[in-house]
Amino acid sequence: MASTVRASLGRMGRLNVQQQSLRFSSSGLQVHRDSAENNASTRFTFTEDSMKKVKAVIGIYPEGYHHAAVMPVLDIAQRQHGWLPISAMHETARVLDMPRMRVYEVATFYTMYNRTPVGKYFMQVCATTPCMLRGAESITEAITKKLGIKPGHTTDDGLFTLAEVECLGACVNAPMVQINDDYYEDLTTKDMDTIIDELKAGKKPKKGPWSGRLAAEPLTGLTSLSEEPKGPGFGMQSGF
Amino acid sequence: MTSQLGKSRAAMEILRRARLLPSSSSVTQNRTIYKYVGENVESDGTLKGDTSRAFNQLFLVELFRGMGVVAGHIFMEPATINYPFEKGPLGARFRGEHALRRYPSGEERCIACKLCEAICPAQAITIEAEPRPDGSRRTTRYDIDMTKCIYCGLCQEACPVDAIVEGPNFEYSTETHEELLYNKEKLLSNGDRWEPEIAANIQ
Amino acid sequence: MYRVPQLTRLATTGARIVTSSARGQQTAAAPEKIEVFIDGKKVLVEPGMTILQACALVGVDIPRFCYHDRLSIAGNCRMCLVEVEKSIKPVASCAMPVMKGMRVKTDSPLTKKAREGVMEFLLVNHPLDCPICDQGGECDLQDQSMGFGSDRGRHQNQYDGKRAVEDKNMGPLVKTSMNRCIQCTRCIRFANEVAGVPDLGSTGRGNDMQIGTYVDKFFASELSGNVIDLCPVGALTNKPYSFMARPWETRKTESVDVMDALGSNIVISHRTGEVMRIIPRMNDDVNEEWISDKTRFVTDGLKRQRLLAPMIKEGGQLKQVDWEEALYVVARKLRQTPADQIAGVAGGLVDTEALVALKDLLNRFNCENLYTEESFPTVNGGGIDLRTNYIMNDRIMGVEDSDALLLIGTNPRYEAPVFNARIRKSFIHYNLDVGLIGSPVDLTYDYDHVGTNAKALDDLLAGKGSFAEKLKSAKKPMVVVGAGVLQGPQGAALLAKVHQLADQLRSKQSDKSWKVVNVLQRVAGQVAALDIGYKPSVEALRDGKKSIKLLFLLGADEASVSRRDIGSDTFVVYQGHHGDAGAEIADVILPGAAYTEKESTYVNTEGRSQKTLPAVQPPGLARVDWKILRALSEIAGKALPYSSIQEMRQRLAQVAPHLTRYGEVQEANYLKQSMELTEKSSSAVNAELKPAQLELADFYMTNSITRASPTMAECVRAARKHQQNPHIEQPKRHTAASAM
Repeated sequence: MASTVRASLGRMGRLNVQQQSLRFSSSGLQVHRDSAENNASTRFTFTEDSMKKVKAVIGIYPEGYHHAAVMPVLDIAQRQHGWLPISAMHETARVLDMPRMRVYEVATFYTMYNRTPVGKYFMQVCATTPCMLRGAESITEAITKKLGIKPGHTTDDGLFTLAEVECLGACVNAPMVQINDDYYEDLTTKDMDTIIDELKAGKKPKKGPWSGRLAAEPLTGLTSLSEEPKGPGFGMQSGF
Repeated sequence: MTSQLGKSRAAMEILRRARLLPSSSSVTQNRTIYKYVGENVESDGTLKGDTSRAFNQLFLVELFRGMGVVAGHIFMEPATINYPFEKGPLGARFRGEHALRRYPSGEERCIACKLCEAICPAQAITIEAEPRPDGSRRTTRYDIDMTKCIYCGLCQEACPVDAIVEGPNFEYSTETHEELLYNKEKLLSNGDRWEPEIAANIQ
Repeated sequence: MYRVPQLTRLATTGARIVTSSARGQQTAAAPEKIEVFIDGKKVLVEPGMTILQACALVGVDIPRFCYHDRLSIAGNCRMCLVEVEKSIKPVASCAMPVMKGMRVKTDSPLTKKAREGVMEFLLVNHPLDCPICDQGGECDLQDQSMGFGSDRGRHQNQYDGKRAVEDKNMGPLVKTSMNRCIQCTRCIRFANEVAGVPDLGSTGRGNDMQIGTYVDKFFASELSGNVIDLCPVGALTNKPYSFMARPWETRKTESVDVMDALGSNIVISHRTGEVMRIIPRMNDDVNEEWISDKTRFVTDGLKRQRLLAPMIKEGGQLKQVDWEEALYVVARKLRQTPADQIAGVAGGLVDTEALVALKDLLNRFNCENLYTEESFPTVNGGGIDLRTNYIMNDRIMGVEDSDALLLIGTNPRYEAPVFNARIRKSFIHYNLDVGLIGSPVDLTYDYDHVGTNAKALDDLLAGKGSFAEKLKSAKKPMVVVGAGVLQGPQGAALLAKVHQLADQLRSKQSDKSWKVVNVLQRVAGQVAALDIGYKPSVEALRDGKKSIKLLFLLGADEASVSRRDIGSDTFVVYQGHHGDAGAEIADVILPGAAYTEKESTYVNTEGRSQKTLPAVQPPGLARVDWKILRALSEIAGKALPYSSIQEMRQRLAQVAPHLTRYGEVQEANYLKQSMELTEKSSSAVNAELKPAQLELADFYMTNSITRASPTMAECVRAARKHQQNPHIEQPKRHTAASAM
């Protein structure tokens, strides 16, 4: 154990360099550059379904404050389109009747808005300390080996995008990967292979911990609170 | 007047008690160790004196002594140098003729910050600047009136990029005033010519 | 600080932070002052004031970067931290309202340490390129790091490096160097709040945060230059002025702008006889502290296309001559030509001194044919005899007091950008309702578009439409009519209609000094010319009779009189500073001085006389205009009785005393008489009201100086190109949400 920790600490230096150079879209460029797939004339309109959701979201806010709905509306746009092209931001600005710049500000501030295209499955490997200590790098390596992509890249078939991200808040189940909206936790490299295979096959892999745990309980069984819960009145004065 | 004298006398008494003044009532010192540098007294009036004087005059003693000094100096190292052909040593901080330096790449160092112009106490420097086509800040004009310059060296102190320096050259006298109004071209060529020395001095 | 929806607006107005404007003082009954202690000194302040403002009252200057008097409070630079007793942390004084009995320590060790800490953080990412930075010498960061910073920093450049940010392309006027940016967001707030062009913003977060437009686009605002002054560091600098001069080597002359009729107060920075740049001068009554881009960047126009020497046309070619010869030729013509065949036409940039001198000169030859290029209706309401008819009676400041504004046939955004900023301010802060009759243009604030045709005036008179209601119920309504639409045959009728409407609105007024009717002039010299008695139209010269044999053009460059109008044998004398339309048709050219080169008087559209001071010498043989006319009068044998500027000013005071009461507005009266003289007609005026300047590209070139300026030409090009940018937003409604 101690040796693995040392080994991973040793890798840390290298890792930091790697992370810096491979910053992913959401925190990457803070200015827009027109590209073939992302420019002002990229086709984007809210579908009827999305529009219904947008209307519902806007309805929450009082008249004159509709621009407060910018975050959910951007999210709806991203879910519809897979990622967030500049034209979607423009459409959001139009729908909410607010200056485009205000939408850009929000979209660039939050890392969960992907301003560059991502694959069908957007795999975010948590690489913050607890996950790293539990072998997040090996998960990344497993994905790289399996799919031939490095963090920040998308597979040629457009199915997978790999990203190394900061803490996703599932440290008790480290290491973990977020694929689209789902967390896959307590992973080993083998589990990762299985997940990818299942995704490729069009199946939905099991969400949550892969170690057999239900949630964050100890694998070796309960170490505390193991006895029967005491009934009401426990520990009270007999007088009561 | 008298009261003042009285006061000063009282002050002296205090000083004397503190052993800061000699204890005698007179403040005049007796000087005994001194050298008389005036013309020799003809004679002190004794026979010995008269004889010695006659001897010195008769045998031109002083003349020979003088010649002795001359003869001695002939074999000593000369105190002067043969100036145009020989030059004395200069300190590394010598402040001579101005020069504008370049980077080893050939790019001029001066960035037209105008700090030298601002600090020049004689207002000998005139700078005009504008963006060069590549967008960098450069001078279009850099003039120094060498006849105004007082060689204080503040310009080279102020320069953030070591562009303007006062080099080791001090031989640039001219026949006309106009030749001493240096422009940028002249200063840059000075820099090119003196770069090895300037670089060595800055080290 | 933006205009908020009606419901919440009522709740927030009470707590509005008192601004420096006059309007601020008016709010309700004066609330009880509370006492606070600044460094032990007691001071009584109004509740709602910030600590920083309270400190200013006792003369304690708190260092700041993001705080600016005329912008909303951001509180993000943290430079203004001060210690407040019983507060565990230092507080940001710019954003903290005062509380009763607060004890503020502005020079305690804690405050000092806080400032040093903030300064150290600011300098972590600030490049040390002061020697090549144009802000050097007038940089807030430089000054404050000297004043309040530490003498060392702990940042290890070799390990961390400094943040590098890509420069943005903001067009031909504003040069960016984003590495220097300290993210005070002043420019963003200016663009959003004052300029009304919400194109600037901050993208990214944390260390990656940048200020910019996100997409590649030009900061398309007529007030864009003001961000240069606002920027406390050298991130946004003046592009045409870049690297030209240092602030310590320029001399500064306080003067007045002539690019529009507002007479914005300016400071001309000049060095070695050359105007380097123009920056605004604070004047709360006129321009606050903003100036338009045309005012600021016109400087290179003053150096090009200038007339340097007197010239005489010989065989179709202009030949350079000396002053004696030129003046002699003109004087001979003046003597030979019968009085009724002489005419003088004054352009829009001519100063009052020259106007008076020309009038005096021609009057001595019994000639009364004096016209201004800019025309104005003369028939109705006493025409130009009554001053009420052609000035902005309710003042520029009045917009802040007004609660309903009707704009008729004007696009103040480009005709008077600083005035437009004032309207926008009033719109946001004081709930001004704006209506517009004329071409629908983007004014940077919401307005009710009442109509494009002057017929809409009749609807308002009849009380039809929602805006008519607003006007009627307004306590202080204002009607501003653009001088542009008053030209032409329909002008007089239109002005009469405006008077009718104003009279209707005025009859309900309790405040009799509120005049309602206002004219927004387009050119700087017009009000003075009308005050003096010039006839505002050159129609008389274009009647086809071609009776004029000697035409004296005084800076008349708008091609209002062409050769075709006057006949080929007419002798045309042009006196002015630029080789433009006027010089083209001239037989003799007398080179005059531009507004930066002479001590002269200009009267702005509200009738405020202000004076310019000479910053530089006129180039070449050019001379100050009134002196040329004085010399001419002497050669012509009828010497004018003034030979110094003092005597000239005395003459001005004789002609109209208000002309020399500098800085003051002479109120116009005879409003009632004007109304009586107005022919009331019930028939509608059928005229499409279309201002000449509709979009940004129209804004930059409007007079002979701007037409000579390469910078302005580049701006026009940039503005046209901007129209093709796919990322620009279509002009849209400036609703409450859009300003947020």
